[in-house]
Amino acid sequence: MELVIQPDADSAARLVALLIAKALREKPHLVLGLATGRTMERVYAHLVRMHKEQGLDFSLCRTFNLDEYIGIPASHPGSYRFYMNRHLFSQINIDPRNTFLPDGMACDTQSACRHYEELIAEFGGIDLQLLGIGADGHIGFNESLSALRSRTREKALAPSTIAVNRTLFDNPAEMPSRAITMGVGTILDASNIILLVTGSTKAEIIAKAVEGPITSMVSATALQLHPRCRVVVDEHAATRLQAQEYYRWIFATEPEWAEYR
Amino acid sequence: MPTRLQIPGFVDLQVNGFAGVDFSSGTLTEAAFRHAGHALLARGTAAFLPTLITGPEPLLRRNLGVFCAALRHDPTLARHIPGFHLEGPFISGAAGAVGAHDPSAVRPPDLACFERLAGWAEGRLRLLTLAAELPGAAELCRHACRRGVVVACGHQLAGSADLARLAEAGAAALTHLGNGMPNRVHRHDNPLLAGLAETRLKILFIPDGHHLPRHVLELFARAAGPHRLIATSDASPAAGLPPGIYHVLGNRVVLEPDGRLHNPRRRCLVGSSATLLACMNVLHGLGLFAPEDLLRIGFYNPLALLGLAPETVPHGPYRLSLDPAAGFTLS
Repeated sequence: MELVIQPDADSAARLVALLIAKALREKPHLVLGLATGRTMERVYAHLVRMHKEQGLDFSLCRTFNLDEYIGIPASHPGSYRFYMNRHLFSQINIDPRNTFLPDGMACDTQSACRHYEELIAEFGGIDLQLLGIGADGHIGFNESLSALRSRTREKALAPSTIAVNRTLFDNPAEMPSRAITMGVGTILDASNIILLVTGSTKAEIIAKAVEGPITSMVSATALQLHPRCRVVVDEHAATRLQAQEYYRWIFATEPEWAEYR
Repeated sequence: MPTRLQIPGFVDLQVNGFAGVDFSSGTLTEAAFRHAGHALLARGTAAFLPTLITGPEPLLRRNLGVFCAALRHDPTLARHIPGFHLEGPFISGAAGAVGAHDPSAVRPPDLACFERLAGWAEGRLRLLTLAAELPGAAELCRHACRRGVVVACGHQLAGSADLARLAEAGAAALTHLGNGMPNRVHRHDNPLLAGLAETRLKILFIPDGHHLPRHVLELFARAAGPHRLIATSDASPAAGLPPGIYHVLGNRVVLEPDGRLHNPRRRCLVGSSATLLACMNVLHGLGLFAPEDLLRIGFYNPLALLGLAPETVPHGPYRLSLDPAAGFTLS
């Protein structure tokens, strides 16, 4: 795991967008794992800008999102499909047929989950998975005690998750209490992972996630097992990290980060 | 600074031979075919269609059998060869259009003959080049498409009406546009202009630096664009060999030090001496295409023509990089 500290939330998001753009240039048919949430909106805004200004090409790229609510259609503004279309897909030259989210409206949720796993495998697995972190340390909707080897499945959301996410709904009563999410094991299968964390509210949990013991109580701690995981944080989120000095030194001296300094 | 590309290499839809091995020779052996195949894989070509040119039926049968046996016995090679390309025998026998093929073995479109060829290819026939103006070409095209074989028009005297009819019948491409045609043609209704104008057909072309002059490559870039273009090497048995005089594809040929490979008596080019990697570097050197467009022309477009996903192409024994100055390199 490598951790990079950026001065502010926007430069952190910009760095993540640059890393995605580099991967896309190296492999135009990249299989990209995507996440939702407020932190990601900035990343997508940078990708949209790079598409418009530099012609960053998404036409061959395929995307898989981490999760989707159960019981609300794609047309619902609270759905993650709606979010993705609004913040990214409709503003870049991606083929909508190449964008995938779990089917939260499937009659048979279990087979929809299985199908999602099969689809990812069919495309050769995820090359680069983008992640955010929940207030209690979850990745995707892998709430506390999610098995570290879990696969895509239906999850009941924690009251704390519901409380945070319902503020994103115009009518909070419509916030679903269940979702389909990639499992921790599914996420760990990605070849590369980028975790983006910004803001002082995440300072405590990110310190736990990257420097604390591995536990299913905090599913993000499983990322410590991943051989190619990069964590990008801003100064506000970095305040509780113990080895800050080392992280800064790595970013300042390692050649792989030279082009981003 | 070079970008290390994550694509496995290039995809070549037309390879007539390599490293001294002639795929259309009556003395082709399984060992020679495998040798040529592996030599090509080491040079930046991640997938290719071994190509048989026009020949008598017994020869085609024999060599398709050699191909199939080699793929059965060499699973590694088989993963890099999604199928075969038959360049003929249903092509024009007219001088110029027939190119370096044997005019006496050319025959009119014939469904029964096609069926026999497809059978001998054991379901691995992926691409058929035929001349669009021949009687029965459209019918054969429809039949081949139903059998899952992609049809390309080439070695022809076709005009725009012929190409429109074939596109209607399901043809998907043009074989080495601007080559395999006479030097003197109708000023408007000729295979080159009609081909460029028939936008339903993708354009296979040979950017080896010899088959097409720079201004024609520039014209292709502007008139067709990177979404319609597919680079092929048209590699001949002399590809990968030093300059000299060789006997290939039934021709006595001279391989010049600059890579031009020609039959001085018939005054025609006889395939190319380049790998697709070398061709892609010619295109890169033109400065007409963005890096992602070059990857389309040499990798994504040929795969899409065959209906294959990029994941199906295994990596070769190298890593491909793109350097803005040096072009594509292997390491």
